[in-house]
Amino acid sequence: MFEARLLKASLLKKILEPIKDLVDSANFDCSPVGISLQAMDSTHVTLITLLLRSDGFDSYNCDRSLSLGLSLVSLNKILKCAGNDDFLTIKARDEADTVTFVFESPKSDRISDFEVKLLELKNDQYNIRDSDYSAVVKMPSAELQRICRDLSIMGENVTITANKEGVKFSVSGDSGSGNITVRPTTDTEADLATTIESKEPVVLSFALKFLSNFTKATPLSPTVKLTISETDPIVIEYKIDDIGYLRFFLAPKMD
Amino acid sequence: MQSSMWSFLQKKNGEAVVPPPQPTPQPKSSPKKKGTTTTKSSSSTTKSKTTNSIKSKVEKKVEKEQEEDQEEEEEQEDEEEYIKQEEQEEEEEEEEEEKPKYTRLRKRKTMDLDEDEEDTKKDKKDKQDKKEKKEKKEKKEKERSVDAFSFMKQKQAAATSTKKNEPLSPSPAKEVKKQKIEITSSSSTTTTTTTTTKPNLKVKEEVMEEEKEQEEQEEQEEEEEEEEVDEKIATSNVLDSLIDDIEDDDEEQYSEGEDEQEEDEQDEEEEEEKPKKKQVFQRKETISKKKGTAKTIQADLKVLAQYNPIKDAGWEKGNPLPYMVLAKTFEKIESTSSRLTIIEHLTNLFRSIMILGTTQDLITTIYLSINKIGPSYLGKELGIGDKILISAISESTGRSLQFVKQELKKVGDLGIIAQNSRMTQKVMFQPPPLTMASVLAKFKQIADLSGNASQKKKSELIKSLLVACKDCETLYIIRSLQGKLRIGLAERSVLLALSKAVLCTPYFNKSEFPPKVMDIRKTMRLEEFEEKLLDAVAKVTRAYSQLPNYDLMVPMLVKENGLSTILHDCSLEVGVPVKPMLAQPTTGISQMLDRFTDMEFTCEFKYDGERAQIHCLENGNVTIYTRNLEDYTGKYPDIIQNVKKFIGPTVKSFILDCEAVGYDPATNKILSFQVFSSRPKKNVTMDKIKIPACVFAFDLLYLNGKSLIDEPLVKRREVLYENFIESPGVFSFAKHSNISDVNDIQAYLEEAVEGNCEGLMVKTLKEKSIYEPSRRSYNWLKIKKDYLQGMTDSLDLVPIGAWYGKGKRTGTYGAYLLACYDEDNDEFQTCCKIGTGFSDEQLSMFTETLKPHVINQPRNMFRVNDQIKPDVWFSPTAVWEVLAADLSISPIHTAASGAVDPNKGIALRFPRFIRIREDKNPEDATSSEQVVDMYKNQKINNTANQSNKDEDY
Repeated sequence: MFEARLLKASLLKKILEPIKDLVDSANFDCSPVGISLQAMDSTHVTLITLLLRSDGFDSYNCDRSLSLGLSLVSLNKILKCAGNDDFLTIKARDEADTVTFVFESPKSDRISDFEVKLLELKNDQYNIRDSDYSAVVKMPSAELQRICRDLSIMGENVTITANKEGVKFSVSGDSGSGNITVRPTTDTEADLATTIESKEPVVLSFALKFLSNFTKATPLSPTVKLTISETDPIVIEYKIDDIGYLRFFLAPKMD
Repeated sequence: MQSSMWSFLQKKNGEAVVPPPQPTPQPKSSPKKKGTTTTKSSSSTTKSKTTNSIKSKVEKKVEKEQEEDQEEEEEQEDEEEYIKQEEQEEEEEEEEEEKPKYTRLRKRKTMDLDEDEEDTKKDKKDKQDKKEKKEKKEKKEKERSVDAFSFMKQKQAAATSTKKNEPLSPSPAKEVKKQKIEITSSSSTTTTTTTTTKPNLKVKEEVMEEEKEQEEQEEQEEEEEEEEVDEKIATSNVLDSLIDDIEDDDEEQYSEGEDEQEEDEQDEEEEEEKPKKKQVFQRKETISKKKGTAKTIQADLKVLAQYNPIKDAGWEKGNPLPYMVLAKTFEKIESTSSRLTIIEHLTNLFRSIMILGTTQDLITTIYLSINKIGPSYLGKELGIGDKILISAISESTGRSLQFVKQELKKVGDLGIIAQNSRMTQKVMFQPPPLTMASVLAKFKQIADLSGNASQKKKSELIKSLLVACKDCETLYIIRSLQGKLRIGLAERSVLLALSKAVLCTPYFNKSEFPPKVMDIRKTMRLEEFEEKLLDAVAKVTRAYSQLPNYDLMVPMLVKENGLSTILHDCSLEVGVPVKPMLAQPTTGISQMLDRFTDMEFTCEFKYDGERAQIHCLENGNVTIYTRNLEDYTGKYPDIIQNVKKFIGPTVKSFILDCEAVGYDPATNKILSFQVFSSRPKKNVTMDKIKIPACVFAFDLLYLNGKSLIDEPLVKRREVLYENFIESPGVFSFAKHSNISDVNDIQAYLEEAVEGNCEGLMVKTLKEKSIYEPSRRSYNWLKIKKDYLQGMTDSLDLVPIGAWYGKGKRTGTYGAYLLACYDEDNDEFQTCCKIGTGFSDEQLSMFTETLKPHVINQPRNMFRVNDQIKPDVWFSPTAVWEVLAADLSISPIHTAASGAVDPNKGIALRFPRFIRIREDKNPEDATSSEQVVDMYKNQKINNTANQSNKDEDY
């Protein structure tokens, strides 16, 4: 028996927003530790990992691990039926072929439940170890979203150049080229500062399409962490308050 | 088995659900799969250790050698020379050590070239060798620092084979090589080149012009060799070694060339093997069919006959059948124009599958080879539009849409573009290799998608296929998706190969492995085998024409004694449409009489409507199929309603061959085809029908559970008349008359034409009068009314090129190049340039409809003389009916070239456009065989020379 209760259904909505256009269906792996997800887009360019720790839930009950294969398209449709402030309960019996989503309005005057059929999905799991980084950039997530939006006008690929002085996002297309440079903020006030931790200068190119898609996760977190390294994919991490994170790994373009 | 692209990412052995990794810096100790050493940190030495542990047979000496080699590599010395020295040394060793020596040689080489690689890739070794070398030179310094990147590249290149699997691309040469070493050591005076252990299969692709020159030189060498070599060694071995010598020499040239001037390699093959350089888009040229001389083809066939279906298969028993095997076979097929070689390649693949795979694997492979996803009568087709493919290619390769479109204009083949533009985008994780089953399953999924958002889903599925493709797989996946494999592999050849495979390797007892009889050809004389093969092909072809469904037929064929009982096991089935029997055209009554001398025959009206095959199951379900086996049940609700009216009381199930014709109930007259074809085609309801269809039945193939096609026509007709009831305006028997006098027939023909019929069908009545599905038989002849006007039968031809119009025709195409279809070679052969018979509206309409099909260069499958240079080329889509004054031998047109004159083809004189044949696909166009027949027929007429009338029997 698996049962997990979230105080805000909107959290799941926000998580799904950047994922649903990249992945059709995915396994939500539920274990006593929490709910996790690993999924790749059909071209295998990006890997998405999600972790929602059990202690972040309002209540969490999981006797044995189980995998919920869900069509993200249908899940998204169902979540549209939930109010943002609704409580969300996810329920599944062991060996079940369906999972139930229960939405409960804050005043408890409206309860809806939806049963979704589970899919048999191949369960490829990957171990991910922390890699050496060349640069770690923390910046306001809204800023990254804006950069991606602005650069998308000019071209399809973005080149990220990071060193101690700052991070430069450059794009070039048929109509011209553009650069946006982000510098570390000097006043270390609040969480919204931009910090750069750079071991060595690094230059990499990425498909802007994917980055733009990732920034749909902006509502999840005010800041975003970019881990850039010459030898590994870029990691874009959105911390989700008190419960876990959503990470995107993106393989670079070959120049 | 997979390999991660990235050092930080490892595939779990994936049994239970594992909680996500916590962000701890400790390295995970989850079990790695064998053969995937992914951690960046592992140095080359540890890697070679892994290699050693995996291949436990390696001796210590080898390790030493390996170390030497590594040093050598760092010094960048010429490897080839070194190997040669080594070989010479080893040659001096004792003969007993031959085998281990052989392996060691292999091993050592593998190691010295695969610093980072664990795979023993015998086949691709030499290619990798080159790659490796080049990479090394290009980024000699980079290599250490950017290890992961170069590592990744190699993984991609090498990913085609896995540690567990045997090297892909079956290698008939491999076995030969072993024998050859024996030869050399027994007569050590022969040239040292023979010991170079580099199996290379791409005989055809590599054997280019230079080699032809070499061949003559080699021949002399061969003669010398022959004297030295033991008499016991069969000549075939010598022939093989000849080919090997050629290959080896060639490779040496490569390596020398590499050292001297790396960049200036002209050879196409070589260019393909180059690692895809950054930013440079390398164009893989369309594989051009190699027209080998009879001698080279013979040599190729000899090599292919040595094929060992187990060792050379490219995968191991019990493992899933990799798609790569088929892609490699396609590549070989595409590179030759010799039909014999094509069939041999496919036969060998089928033999391997029969031994190592399941019957289902064989069926899957057949469907993939004929580019179908199921029985053709079910109408499921791939034919994915270029638009979806372009976007899928651009997304899976990371190239821009614009780029792909631009390239499409230049190259003209999306498959080649896809193959060439692989990987400007790194991937997170290489998906597992494609298997035949997974490819066909995906194809089916794609074809089944319809309705809302199906385009996007199709695109996703295609992308997931493309991302798993390696090498030439991409090319053939894309072409298969387009529904145009276009490699010169006709379904007929597939059937032939299937028959040959079943005959060569009869393997029924699956518990016995390896099979007792690997190749039956070794146990019998060639003539005997040829005779059996002819018989087998005839049986299989007929069985398939009776039951055109591989899912049902193949299991019957591969069971014990399947070949002898196949005709019985695969008889007609209600609900499975068969291709109708077709008639040969004639130029007149006299010609017809010549054919049927001393035979009883019957004349039937040839109604001008649509051929319809009506199937009625015992449960009363009725389906109607066209001559192309399309399901037209939805087009004829009136006929279905009428079935009850015209069947006799004892009729339970039947297959009726008939013509559906428009009928005017008011005047009780038959309507012309033009009027009839204005009926709506799909989902017709009774109230929409303005022109009722009347069924004119002329043959009965099946009745109440029994096939009748082996009965003579007179008997079939009798049963037909007994069990069906005429009903005016609904159902009639085709009007017939058993007359034999020329004048009577002439009068009957005129009567038929009066009655709005196309002409007469003349059929044998007793002798040779069985129903032959899918055959254009000489036992059925048609005399068209055109004959009365002094014209021959029309031809259905395919426009493949056009010239821009001048003067009044400016802005449209003014003239078209037409071609007929050669079934044996899957080619379109030109037979005339046409510019008359078009109305102005038609001209502009054709320009509009054909413009989207313009391609930049002629397809490989076009056989066109260099002197013909149309302004634009089309991919074959339309079929036009064309009339001509007569046919003549032409030095520039290629239709049926070789059949009448060794170098010249047949052309139409004064061709004139009649109409579009919408009911025909380009492959249904008039075949070159028919063109030959027409040409010969008119010759009979013109010269009144009747001596050669029977040559086609």
